[in-house]
Amino acid sequence: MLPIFILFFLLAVAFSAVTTIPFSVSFLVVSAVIFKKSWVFFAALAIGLLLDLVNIRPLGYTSLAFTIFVFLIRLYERKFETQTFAFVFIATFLGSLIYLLLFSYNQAFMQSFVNAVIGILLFKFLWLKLGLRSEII
Amino acid sequence: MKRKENFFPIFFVVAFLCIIILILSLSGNLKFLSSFLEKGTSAVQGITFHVFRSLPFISEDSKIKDLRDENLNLLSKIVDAEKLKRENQALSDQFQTSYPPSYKLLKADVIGAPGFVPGVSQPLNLILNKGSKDNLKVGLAVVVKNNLVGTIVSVSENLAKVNTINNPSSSFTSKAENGAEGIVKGGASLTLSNVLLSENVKVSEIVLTYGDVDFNGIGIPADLVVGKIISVERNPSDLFQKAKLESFVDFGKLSTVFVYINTK
Repeated sequence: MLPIFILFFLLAVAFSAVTTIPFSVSFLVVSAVIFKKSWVFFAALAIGLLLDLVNIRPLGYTSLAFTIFVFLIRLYERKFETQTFAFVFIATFLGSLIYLLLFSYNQAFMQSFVNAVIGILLFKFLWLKLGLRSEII
Repeated sequence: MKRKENFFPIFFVVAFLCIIILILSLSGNLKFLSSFLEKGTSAVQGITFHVFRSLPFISEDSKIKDLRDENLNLLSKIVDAEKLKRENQALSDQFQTSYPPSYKLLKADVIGAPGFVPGVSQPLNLILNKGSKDNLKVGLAVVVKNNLVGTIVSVSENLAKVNTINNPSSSFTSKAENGAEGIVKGGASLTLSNVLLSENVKVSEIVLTYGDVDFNGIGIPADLVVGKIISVERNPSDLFQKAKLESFVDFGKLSTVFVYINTK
């Protein structure tokens, strides 16, 4: 999995040069939903720091927002099933919307919708790639 | 059934780390670290930006680019001629003239211009490869030729973020060619608002910056081109009239800009 994450970190930096769609949010939602592991918190910290660096924001600001977001997803999964398309879509949409509004980006609704669709595609891709059937890994 | 993992301790550790990093960053104690890391991230950003810009469906036709450059050059000449005319008028009227302030232009490369749909949406921010170590400060004007691109809104050691004039948070004083003053605001379209009804604002008129530089030389210098008036909205019952503008600059196609630095 490590090469995938290094690749994703590079992509997170790279895409921030050309688009404002927060791909990191969909990645964090899908990671939290599929893997259900604590390293997702560290991924949130690292991605947040990278985004703060490239967007010239105080370091730790985005990381804190992402960490709380992952925490909320993990809390939700204690009571409800999260490995569904509906959950991934709604969580990515709301997470993206809050992120975009928090950092004053424009066309927040449209961008969140596009990101939610990307989230579903990523979820489906990883689900098939990893051959998942139930709560494993 | 798989036992549920207790993630609370990890969450508190990571959240605590984030808060510590945030406090250190806000107090300026992480400058050395962010400066070091920025070098790597800005390189990746720059490479991506230039690779993306060179894609065939994104890059501009060279003929169109040449015409656009020529247009900007001609506009610069018109504005310079107008400026000379006004200075000449001032000299002949008062036998004195104000010397233009001593400005230096610092070249900066654009390494990021994020928009919703890359290559289609106009970016509202630009990331430049120059920062506080190059004397860039928040509030300095960014231009291409003598067209206003925007102002710097945040600066780090190696990078600077520019709010383009079409950014909804952008607002500055301007004047039309005939002297009508107003405020240019960004948004879905550039708007010149708060223009007195008595002023005669016409379509195709060029709008210039009014000049808003503080004692430290930070701000937007006068007579930079903002854009051209494309429509005028005048309602006799209103106090003010407003006009829609079109900038001559294609913010999505910029690769190099210049920052006005006052050397006084």
